[in-house]
Amino acid sequence: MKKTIIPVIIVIIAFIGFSIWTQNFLNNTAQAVAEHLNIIEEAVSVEDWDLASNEIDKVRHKWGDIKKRWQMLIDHQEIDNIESALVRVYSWIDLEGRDDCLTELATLKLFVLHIPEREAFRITNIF
Amino acid sequence: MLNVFVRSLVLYIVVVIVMRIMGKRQIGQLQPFELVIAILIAELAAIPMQDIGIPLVNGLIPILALLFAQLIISYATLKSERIRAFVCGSPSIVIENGRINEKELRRLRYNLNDLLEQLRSKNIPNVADVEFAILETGGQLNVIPKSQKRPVTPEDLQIDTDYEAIPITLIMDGHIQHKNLIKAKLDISWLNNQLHSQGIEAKDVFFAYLDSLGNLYIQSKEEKEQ
Repeated sequence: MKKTIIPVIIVIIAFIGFSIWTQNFLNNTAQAVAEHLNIIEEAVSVEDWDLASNEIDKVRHKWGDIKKRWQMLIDHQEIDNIESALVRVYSWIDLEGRDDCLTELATLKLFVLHIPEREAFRITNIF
Repeated sequence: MLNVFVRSLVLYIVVVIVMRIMGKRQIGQLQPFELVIAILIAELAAIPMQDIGIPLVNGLIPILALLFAQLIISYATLKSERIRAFVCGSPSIVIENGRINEKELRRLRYNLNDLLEQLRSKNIPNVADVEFAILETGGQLNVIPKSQKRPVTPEDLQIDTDYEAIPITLIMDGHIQHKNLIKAKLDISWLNNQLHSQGIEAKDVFFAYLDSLGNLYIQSKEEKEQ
């Protein structure tokens, strides 16, 4: 009996540990992206297109790294949503369209911050 | 990730409870309507288990609805012969007095190979040895061999046999089965005396039972034997 229970307990502990690490990782990475998006939002509001362009390049670069890891952890549909919103924000900054850019930024931020929310271990997510 | 884990546990517990409420049937003995419900429940539980986008309630409510339907249908089939015949069908005689009922086989779309295979699995290689073969509503083939071909019983040989009671388990994995002791009209002091006379304690017994003749059989745990 002990020979079965001990490995099962080890696997469960490892699984819970991995889940907690995943949750933290998703939280931290989503917050990091959101911070850049806040800077872009402020820059776009005052039509500082150079700063917005610099920041969106940073976000795209960062997103490239994050995406590789997120793909192993979350629904790919969610990643596709973020990808397409990111492309739209990039285009609007390029075109210097303030209102549309702010709208797309809000959407992108929602998509990014929605991921750790969705994956969080809480009763509303279970049921 | 933990959400999926907990959702899986919740659904598993619900499905086990639902299957227990549905009653004691083995998969092979399910009636058609029960088989349909079992398949649907498996599907309904599997989808919300992995997709956290679907509310768990969306999986639980259909399962409970199916449980409700199953209870109603099984109760109705219990009470009404007509409903039973409609829902479960009726048994079919496929071999009668050593002759295969060709018409019935064709109606049931039951081929000869399947029939012969079933007969062989019941140690009856010759169709002529069969008095009746009945295809039950659950899909099982029950065979009644001709009286000359069935195994000899003590009654055939006119031999008197002693009464044989059902064996009663008294200790399982070190735990005394008090209900069974009462059923056997024995008490704990009798059991302790028996165990002491064999130099063993109840907690060291892996399995002990009263056989059909009332003899106590004891098997101690392996670690104690070594």
